[in-house]
Amino acid sequence: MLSKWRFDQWTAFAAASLAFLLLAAIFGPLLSHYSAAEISDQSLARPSPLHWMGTDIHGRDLLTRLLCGARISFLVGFFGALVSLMIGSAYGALAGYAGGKVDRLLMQLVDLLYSLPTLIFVIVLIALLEAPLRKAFLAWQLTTLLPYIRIFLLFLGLGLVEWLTMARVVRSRVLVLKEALFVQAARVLGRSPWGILRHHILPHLLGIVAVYLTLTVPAVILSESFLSFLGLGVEPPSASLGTLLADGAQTINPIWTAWWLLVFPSGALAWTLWALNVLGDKLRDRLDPSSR
Amino acid sequence: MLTFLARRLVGAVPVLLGVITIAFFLVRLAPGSPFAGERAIPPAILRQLEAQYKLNGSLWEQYANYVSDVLHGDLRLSTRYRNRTVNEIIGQTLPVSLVLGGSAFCLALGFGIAAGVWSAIRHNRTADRLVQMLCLGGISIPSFVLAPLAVLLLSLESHLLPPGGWGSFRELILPASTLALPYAAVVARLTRASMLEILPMDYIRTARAKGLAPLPILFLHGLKPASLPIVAYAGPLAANLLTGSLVIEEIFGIHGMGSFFVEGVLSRDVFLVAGVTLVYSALLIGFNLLADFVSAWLDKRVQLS
Repeated sequence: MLSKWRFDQWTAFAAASLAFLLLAAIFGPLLSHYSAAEISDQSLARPSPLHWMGTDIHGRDLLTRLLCGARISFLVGFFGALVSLMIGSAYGALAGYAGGKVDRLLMQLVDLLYSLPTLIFVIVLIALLEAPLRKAFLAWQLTTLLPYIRIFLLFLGLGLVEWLTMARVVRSRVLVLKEALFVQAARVLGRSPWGILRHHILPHLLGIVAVYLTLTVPAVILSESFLSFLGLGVEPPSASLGTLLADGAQTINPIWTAWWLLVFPSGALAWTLWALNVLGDKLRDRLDPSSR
Repeated sequence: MLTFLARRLVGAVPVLLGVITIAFFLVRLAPGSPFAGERAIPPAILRQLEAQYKLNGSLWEQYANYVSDVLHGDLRLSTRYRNRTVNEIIGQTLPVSLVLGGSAFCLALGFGIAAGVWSAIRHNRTADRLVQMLCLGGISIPSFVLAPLAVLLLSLESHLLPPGGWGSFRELILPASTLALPYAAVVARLTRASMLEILPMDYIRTARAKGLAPLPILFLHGLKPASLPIVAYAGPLAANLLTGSLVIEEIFGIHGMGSFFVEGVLSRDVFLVAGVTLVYSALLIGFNLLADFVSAWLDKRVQLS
């Protein structure tokens, strides 16, 4: 049975899943009869035709909350990965192009960061930067953005820790590229190092960077859910998949368990991560044969 | 070898100093006093509290005093858990975290390597596909998803294992295995890829042609060189397990270092945060050192320099 389901079919299934999840996250909340924050007296109702995934303790429709949560998770994943992309490719390109001592030093720092619990620093960063940022937002009259402060911090903090792999990959590619004939020619013709990086090396990095971007998104979503689970990520009234999961985990107890509050968010998170991981893996095998 | 050890140990000092410096200033520069509570504290009492916890004077003086205390082995009093020193808290919680993390580490390596080797010998067969599918699934199901589900199914529905607590072997099974499983999947993928590179090599064929038994070939000739990437992953693995244990401790109600750390950050307990970060980093640095020795032992070409 497994050999019949070839890997390409799994990839197709993953791509379809991702498309479905993305569309659901974007348009789902608009189609729902309920709003994510709408409280009703149907507290902890089981899944039924009225509430497909049941309701939580405040009577909010779980499906709607899940769709909105997926929206936030995707958003954080995408922007966090974008921040990590910028840091990682700049860092890797610098290390690879400079070479020698600079390269060794920069890469040793990456190795060191790999083996430190960097997420712990994100926890400290988020807990500590929140209040000053809030004050700044109030001073700049940006009150409408206040509920999104944590999300901004998550973009930043997670981007700051997830760039290590990107830096390694970009560096090794730049090491090869900078010896290529067309780069040497540009150097002989007197192009500045910056110009060479920008116009001759960067365009060749786009493919590989795109591949590792697909692999960074699930990593960021995972870290975001982790932090939200600890209560340090997205805060109420907005919710991410991690927050919903934490709510679900709160409700399990020996006497009576609202299993739907746990099972559906878990499934949604695992499905999302799975689809992104399968796609990223496949893309990497195709476009970056050196990684095999 | 000894010079290598000495150089690494000397090199660890600035890293550890950097870690406590970052932790100290992040927490101290953050708004909110560690003594803030429901009621406002009269200035005189606040001053006395600050003096008692050595948080008076300029920030630089506080920092310099703190570093000198740390060098003398005193991690100071916790401001959150009054009357308890950070040394005492770490002394009580570190063994718990070490047992949890250590058993998860062994589980991740054991299961990961076994599955990876099996998958590599069965390359492109059904078993291989199955292991690969399970691995992708495992990577996509983080510990904090797995743990509540496992509690729901295995403890509350079928009463097989206790849902929390700490002390007995049965209480260790669920937290350690849910913490380890996602990383076992990563190890399995690494092992498989690495074994697939080694197994087609000429010397393996020679060993087989000489009539060596399959198992010694697989483990002595194959797995030994193939385990280099796994050893290289051991450092990041330990770091990930450490972070992962924060939620696992929370879910299973285990009083390890992680829960105190999170509480310390939230209540601006500068010495607790810096102390725990220091211990975490020291553990990981020591662990990476060990990994370097193991890889030098596995592959004589690796130079310890």
